[in-house]
Amino acid sequence: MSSADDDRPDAAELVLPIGQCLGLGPHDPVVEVRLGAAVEELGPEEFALWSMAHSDPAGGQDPWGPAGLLAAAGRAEVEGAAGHVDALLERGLLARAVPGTPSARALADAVRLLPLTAGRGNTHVSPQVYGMGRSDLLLAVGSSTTYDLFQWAHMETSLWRACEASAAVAARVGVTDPGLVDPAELLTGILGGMHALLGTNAACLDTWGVLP
Amino acid sequence: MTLLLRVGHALGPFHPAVGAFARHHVVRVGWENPNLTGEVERATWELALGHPTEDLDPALVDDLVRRRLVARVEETPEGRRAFARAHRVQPFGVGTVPTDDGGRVVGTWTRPAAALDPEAFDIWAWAHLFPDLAAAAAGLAGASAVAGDDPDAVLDRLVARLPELLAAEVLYLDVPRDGTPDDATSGPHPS
Repeated sequence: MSSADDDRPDAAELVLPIGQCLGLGPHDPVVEVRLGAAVEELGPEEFALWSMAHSDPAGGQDPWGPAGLLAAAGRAEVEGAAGHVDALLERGLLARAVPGTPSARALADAVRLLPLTAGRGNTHVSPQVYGMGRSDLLLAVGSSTTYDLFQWAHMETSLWRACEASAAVAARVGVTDPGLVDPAELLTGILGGMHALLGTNAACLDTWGVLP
Repeated sequence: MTLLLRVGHALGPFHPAVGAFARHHVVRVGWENPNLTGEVERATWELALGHPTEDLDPALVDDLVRRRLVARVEETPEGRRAFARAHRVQPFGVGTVPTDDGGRVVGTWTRPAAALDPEAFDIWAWAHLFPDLAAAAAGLAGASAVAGDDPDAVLDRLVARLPELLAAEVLYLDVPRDGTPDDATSGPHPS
């Protein structure tokens, strides 16, 4: 994970928030974010950037990366955005990754995908589309592959191990699509749809953080 | 008295094809999908949120307990300990704004699910980091807003708060994740 002002022109680079928001603290104007077993406190500008890293606030369909985040921060008049992004990267609250490269594998080794809502299953009208949300609120939809990872990935100790497990299961039942049986390809696919899960709070990326 | 508490991550109906009825409702419990077949099973599971009512079919409840979809908790220290060693919690939602009593609203920023008092918030925020509820009770004793200075007292409060927290959909019960998955049932297989 490199710094925010590292001038890398790769359009597919993603920026991803790590941690589960615990909300505004009772006294200070800081937002608490749980990162594993630790609590990180984010000031208003830091929280604005961490929030905007969840997905493109304008709802765009392009991969959501550092350049887009800084542009959105500029439109929102967040002061000192580049410096705050660097600090959040340093603290492990943001990550940068280019799908299909070692940076994506490094991210997947370091985080797990934690579902933050129930599954809504599929419907007889669109059985290929699975919903995620609570009983009164649909938050996100995804393919069966996305839904499988939503269901199972957090049982593994990392997102990478979840991709390996999912690929192994797919291969065992005779699937041949590389996008489903190659863990790296599977990771590329899941990263492409990650912001749809993060931006709706259907799931978060977390570090392991399990206490003994 | 005993409590009945539903166990598992609810994952909704599974329709195998266009126009097909739901084959079952998917529930993940540990490394397995015991699933719920039919609306009576599903409703019984949904309603397992405290003391059993006359609406629940005892034989069906027994079956759900056997399949680990429902936990039957004897309301004694020994009963609570046995339940706690065999279960853990997982949170739903994110925390948002503080409540007047020092707790937190959880859900999403635009659609709150529940306002949690400090005790409930600490259960929601921290109990899931422990491998089971027994470890959570020991870890939270004296170090959280959960009342009680010893693990048994904290566990008493944890168990007492679970029905409302399950009903509010801010957490779910699971079994400990230790152990390796059974080869035949592990991994993604929603059907």
